[in-house]
This record gives sequence, structure tokens and C-alpha cells, in this order.
Amino acid sequence: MLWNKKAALFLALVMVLSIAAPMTSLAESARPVVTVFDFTEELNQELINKAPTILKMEEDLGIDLQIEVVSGISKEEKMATMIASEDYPDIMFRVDERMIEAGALLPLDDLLEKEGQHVLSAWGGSLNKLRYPGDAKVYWIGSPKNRPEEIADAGACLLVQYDVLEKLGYPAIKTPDDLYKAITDYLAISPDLNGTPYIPYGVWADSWGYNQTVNNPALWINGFTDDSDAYIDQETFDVTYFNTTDYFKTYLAFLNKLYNNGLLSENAFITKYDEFNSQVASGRVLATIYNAGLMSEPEAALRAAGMPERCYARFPITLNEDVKDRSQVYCESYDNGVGISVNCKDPELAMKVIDYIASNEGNVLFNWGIEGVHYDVVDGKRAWKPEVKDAYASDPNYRYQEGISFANWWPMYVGSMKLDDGDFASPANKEDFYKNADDATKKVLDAYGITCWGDNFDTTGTPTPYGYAWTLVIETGSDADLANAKANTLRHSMVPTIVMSKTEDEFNANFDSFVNQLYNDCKINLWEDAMHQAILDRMAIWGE
Amino acid sequence: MENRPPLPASRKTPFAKRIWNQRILVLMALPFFLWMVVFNYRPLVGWVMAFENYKPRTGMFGSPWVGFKWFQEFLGDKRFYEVLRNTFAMSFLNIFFGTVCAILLAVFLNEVRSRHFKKTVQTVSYLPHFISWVVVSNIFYTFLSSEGLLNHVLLSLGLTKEAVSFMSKENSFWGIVTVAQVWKDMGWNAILYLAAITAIDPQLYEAARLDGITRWGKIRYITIPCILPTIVMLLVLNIGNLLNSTGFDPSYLMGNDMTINYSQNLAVYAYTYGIELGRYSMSTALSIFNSVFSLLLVCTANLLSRKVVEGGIL
Repeated sequence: MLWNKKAALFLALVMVLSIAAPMTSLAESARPVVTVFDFTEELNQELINKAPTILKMEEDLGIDLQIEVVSGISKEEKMATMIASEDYPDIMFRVDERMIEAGALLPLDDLLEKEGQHVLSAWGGSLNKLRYPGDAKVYWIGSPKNRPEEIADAGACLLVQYDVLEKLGYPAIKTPDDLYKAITDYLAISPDLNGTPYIPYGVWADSWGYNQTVNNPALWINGFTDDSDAYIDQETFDVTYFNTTDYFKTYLAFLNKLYNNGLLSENAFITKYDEFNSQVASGRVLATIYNAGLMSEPEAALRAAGMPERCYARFPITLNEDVKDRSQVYCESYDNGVGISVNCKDPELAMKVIDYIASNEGNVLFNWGIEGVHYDVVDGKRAWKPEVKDAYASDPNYRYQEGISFANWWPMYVGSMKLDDGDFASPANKEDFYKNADDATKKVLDAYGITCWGDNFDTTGTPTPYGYAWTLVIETGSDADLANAKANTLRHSMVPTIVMSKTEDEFNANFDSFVNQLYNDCKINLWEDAMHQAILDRMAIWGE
Repeated sequence: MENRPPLPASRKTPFAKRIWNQRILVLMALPFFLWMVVFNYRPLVGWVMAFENYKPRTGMFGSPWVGFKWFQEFLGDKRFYEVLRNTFAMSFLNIFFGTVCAILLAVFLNEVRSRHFKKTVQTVSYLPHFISWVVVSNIFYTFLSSEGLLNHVLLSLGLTKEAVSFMSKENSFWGIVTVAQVWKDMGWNAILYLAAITAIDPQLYEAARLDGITRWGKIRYITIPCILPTIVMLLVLNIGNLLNSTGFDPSYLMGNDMTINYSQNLAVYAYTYGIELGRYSMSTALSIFNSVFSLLLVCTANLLSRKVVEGGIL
């Protein structure tokens, strides 16, 4: 009996405690909770929630942020399931028109007037470019780039390993032919990397890698801006599916040449993102035309592994000397940003959070970090501490752990833009680039007589009046959208066949059959018409 | 007990009275009946989505009607028939080889004398069932890649001249996916057959032994005929599940751009052109097609099974 009584007492105690425990933890976080979801696949949820800069923002605003990120599934899947369940957090980063169509987002126009002074001043006249064509309201806010900027680093461009350049005496590589020669010359000097064969030309064509490494390089070598899948007549704004054009065919011919000479593996077409990153991080990929921004993590891994000479120099590349590179020409337009959901209990508070990020304070905090911890002010200018600089360059997780310069899609400045105090908003600026670079990088920069990769590029070319075509909105699930999805499946399966053609006749026949199927089976003309209309609608809203 | 009327009399009593008499049994069955209504029948209401242009914003009751638009769309799509072909081919291969291998494994295991060896083999063979498809597909990709183990072995034995990227050959996809599925589920499926074998009356074996039967004869004339009803039942159920037998995971994870014409199955098709584009109506229409077709299959299989096993299964 006595034992029973003891047991009962013990159980009662356990029950009381188990009820009390969550109550005490509730009492601790008396600050209002703001739930955040970031649709970014590379973010590290565990680290970012504990990052000192995030904690500082919570302190300043008197709130408790709970950040969740996509994991395990793709951004698209997560978005679709979230829409189906209508279970939205308060603030969502990187949302696009699908969320607007689903009625998940609040229009921000009034909130901006009330609580968004910093956002408004950062955006100025560019706010029009955020308006949703459906009802001309603003639903989300991206990273503002509304001032002319000088670029420190390039976006998508030709990337060549430092070691290749050094061994060949720093040649000028301007065309695919130059590139081909550089790769073959280098392989003659150095046939493998410690016994492992090189991957002479990097391609990963699985899912969105197709756009990055197959479609877009064809845009750059033909001197286009990032119109992605669209070739657009700049007079009439008629749209042609880019993969059907001779411009695209020219690039495929280059890949075909690489393949037939054993410089491109057929594995390239089934390589996935993480696989490609590990290929790059192993130092085996000699050159590629790719988005340099996506290289920062594998490059950090290369430096951490003691192979800084396997990092990449950035160059423009065009078909021949007559074609002018426009790969870095800025055509201001936006396709995603941060929005406030219809489930948000306190939209004004949510807007305060967004406004904080857009303020000068927020810019410094999330780009530079905390003064004394991450940066010091030297001669009136912010400068990262040497240990921060090194850790940032060599530890891929450091940026999330500290919460600095990790989110170039948040509504703050990136690149070489200046804040009201006259100093740069971010360490990724032209002046600091050389200072923050490692010795291997400096050596290559010196050899080409430049101080940052941006110097290699001309950003003064003509921008398009509609921005980048990849930011254009087509109704989700419409016939045009379906045509595009079908075309996407088709090109993923047929382009490898075209590239692996053995003869020129076979190459031409495969390409013709590809174009034929795009129009007859996929009805890609529906998409072309919808894109043409979307351009006209956008230009009407932007009001030239 | 002694007050209860005898059964034949109850047949003549009115329905309400019969229910009352069997109230305890009815009560016991009620939770399961409710469970079935809630989880199996109530979702059928969602089928109306297949006949409208469903958008989350307008909901099931506010979206416009479109009739048979979605059915027409996929029935008129050339790729749909390719996908159907892949689904049938992969499912058929999976059911055929899956069943045969599982039966063989069960029968042979039953013949093993050493208890420990038997248990070990059984455990080892059903463990892959618990491995996620993500891992399985990675194992196969690594094993079959042009720098993988298989190519290494083939090259060093001089059987091939250069490395073959097996995963990017569309002709070999069905084979690879079948091997993966059989490997993954053979041990697991064998458990059912093993259980059926243990239920066989040992007297049959003893009698046969007295008659001087060989081991092969024991398998052929006792084991197999005795587990035949189990085999047929599982086959009928599997055939009913033919369209889903190779589910989403193997096709989606093991397939890639270069094999997509042979790897895409119905589940992936519904995902790519339905869910991923936010076209929930289209996905619903496909799932109706799937359900109706499966129902027909299961009925046909059951009819055929009557020829093998008396009375059929269902």
C-alpha cells in the first residue's frame, strides 16, 4: 500500500511538472512571437535561429523570431503543400506570384505607408517594379538594387580554375574556342589530379541545373541579358522559345564538340546539384560557364581543403569578338521577395521586422555583422576583422552560424551600394573585395591587372525595357504554364541526345526533331504568346 | 446465454430486432465502420475537384466547373500513354519477379535445417525493406555510376572496354528498378509465405516421408500446393495495385533526365503536371482514373482466381 501511495505521489508530481514546464517556458518568452519561413534551399535552420545578428534584431524589436526553412523537399513542393494546407507563418521570404494567386499574402501598400519608411526610401521609384500585374498592388519586397552599381563579383559567367590560368601563363580567354584551347593545353601539361581524372568542363543538367549550365551559357555567349527561356525581339517584343533558336544551337554545337573529344562526360546530364558541388569542391572541374554566386560554398570548401589554386577566375565569354558581352548588365526586375501572410495576427509588427532589415542599421547588421564582434570601424570605414574574413572565405557554414552576408535575397542592399553614412552597405563591395581576397585570388587578379572580378565586365550595355524575362509572371497551372512544363521535360531528355550526336548530320537531325516536338507535342507557342502578353502588361504597369 | 433465441429463428425477426439482439457485435464493429467512412469514403467528396478548375483561393465550392476537361487533357496527351506503358511494364516486372523470388526464398529457407542460419538469412533479407528509397537510389547510383564498383569490376575483368554509365541508359532502367525493388522487398514479402508454410500440417510431410518422397517432391507436391491460396490472394491484391505497384519514389528517385521516357510512371506524371504546377484538379482526375482502373483490375483478377482457388478470394 505504502509503495502504491508513493508511486501515486510520484506520478502526480510528474503530471504537475509536465504541465508546469511549458507554462514556465511560455513565461520566459513574453515577447511576441513572429513565425518566419524562408523558401531558400541552402539555408541552415539550426544555425540561423541562433545567429548573433538574428538575436540582436530580436532584442532591438522586442520580438521572438522562429525561423523555419525548406528542408528535404524542394521549394516548389513546400510552397504547393503550404498552399494546399493554408498553414502560413507570419512572414515568408522568397515568395512569388503563386502565393499571391493562392490568396496567401496581404497587400503591403497601406502597411508600407504606416511602418515601412525605410523600405520606401530604399526603393524610391522602383516600387512600381514590384507591383503584381493582376491588381497593381505590392505583395512582396525583394532586395533593392535601385541605384546604378559597380559590381565587385560577377554573376553568371565563365569560370576557369586559377591553376589552369597560371600553368598557361594567364592567357586571355574570350571565346569558346579560346576556352577549348585552354582546356586541352592544360590537360596536356597536367593529365590528372593526383591520379583522379579531371572533369574538364563542368555541367550539371538535372532539374534547375539545366538553366544554369545549358540554357543560360547560350545566352551569355550570344550577348543577351538573362531572358532565360525566352528569345525576345527588342522591337516587337515577340517571344520565341530560346531553345528553338540558332543561338542556342550554337552552344549545343560547342558542347557536342567537347563531348566528341572526351571533354564532357555523359554523366553531366544526370549530375545533381550536391553532386556537382562535391565535384567542384574536389578540385576536378577545370572550367564551366555557371553562376559564380553558386560557387561561393564549394570554393570555401576548396580553400578549407588547402586547394585555393582550384578556385575560379571570372571572365566574360562571347561567341566571337564581334558579340558584346551583356551578362552583367543590370535589368532591374524582381520575381520574389518577402511578404506578410493573411494568417499574420499583427501585420504592423511583421512590417516593422521587414522595415528593420531595410534600414541602414539592418543593412549593416546582416551584411557586416555586429561592431566589435565581426567588424571594426577603421579610418571611418567598416572593415571585417581578419578572423571573420578568413572564416567567411573558408567555412561554408560560418555565414549562417554568424548570420552575416548570408541572405542576398532579404530586403537589403547587396554589392557595391552605399548607405546614408557614405560607407558601403556590404563587404562584397569593389574596394573591400581585394582586401578580403585570399593570396591565390590576389595573384590572379594581379596577373590580369584588376582589383576585383567585376573589372572584367562591362555593365554599361543596354538594359531591356521589361527587365529580365525570367522574372515575368505566367498564370500558374494555365495552358501556357503546362506547355512550358512539358517543354521542360522534353528538353531535359532530348538535349543530352543532341549533344551526344556522333556526326554533324545526326546533330542537325536531332535538333530539328527537338524543335518539331516542342511546337507540335508541347504546344510551346501557347507559352510564347503568354510571355509576349506578360511583357506588354508589365511595361504598362511600370509606365515607362 | 441460455435466454438467447437460436440462430435460425433470428432470421425471421425484423431487422431492428436483429440489430438489437446483436448489439454487442454491432457496437464492436462500429468504430471500424466509422473509421472506414471517415478515411475511405469521406475523401471521395474531393472527387468533385476533378470536374472543376480548383484553385485554393476559391475553394472546392467556389471554383468554376469545367466538365471533363482534365480527363480529355491527359487522355489526349501522347506522353500519358508512354507513362501508362512504363507503369504497367515496371509493375508487371515487379509483381512477377517479386512474387517468384519471395516464394523461392521462403520455400528454400523452410528447407534449411540450421535454425540460426535460417534466422540470420531471414533478418538480412528483410532489412532492406526498411531502407528509404532515397538511400536505395543513392546506393544504386553509386554502384552503377561510370566510376562505380560494377564498372570497376567489369573493366578489371576485361569484360568491357570502357566504363558504361548504366543509370543513363534508358533501355536498362526497367531492369535496374526491378532489381532494386526485388532486392528491397523480397525478404519482407517472404515472411507471409513463410508464415503460410508453418501452417502446413506436419503430418502431411511425415506421411510423404514414409512413402519415400524426395526433397523436390516435398516442395512440389506439398509445400507449393498448400500455400497456393496465399499466393493467389497476394497476387490478386497486387494486381489490384498494379498501377501503384511501382510507386512514386523508385520512379522519381532512380529516374533521371536521360531515362525519363522509360522511368516516368503515373505517380510522377500526376506530380509533375499536377501538384507541381498547382493543378490539383488534374491530379484528382488522374487519381479517379487510377482508382476506377484498379477496381476493374481487382475484379477481373478475382474472377480469374476462381479458376485456381475455389470460391475466389474476395
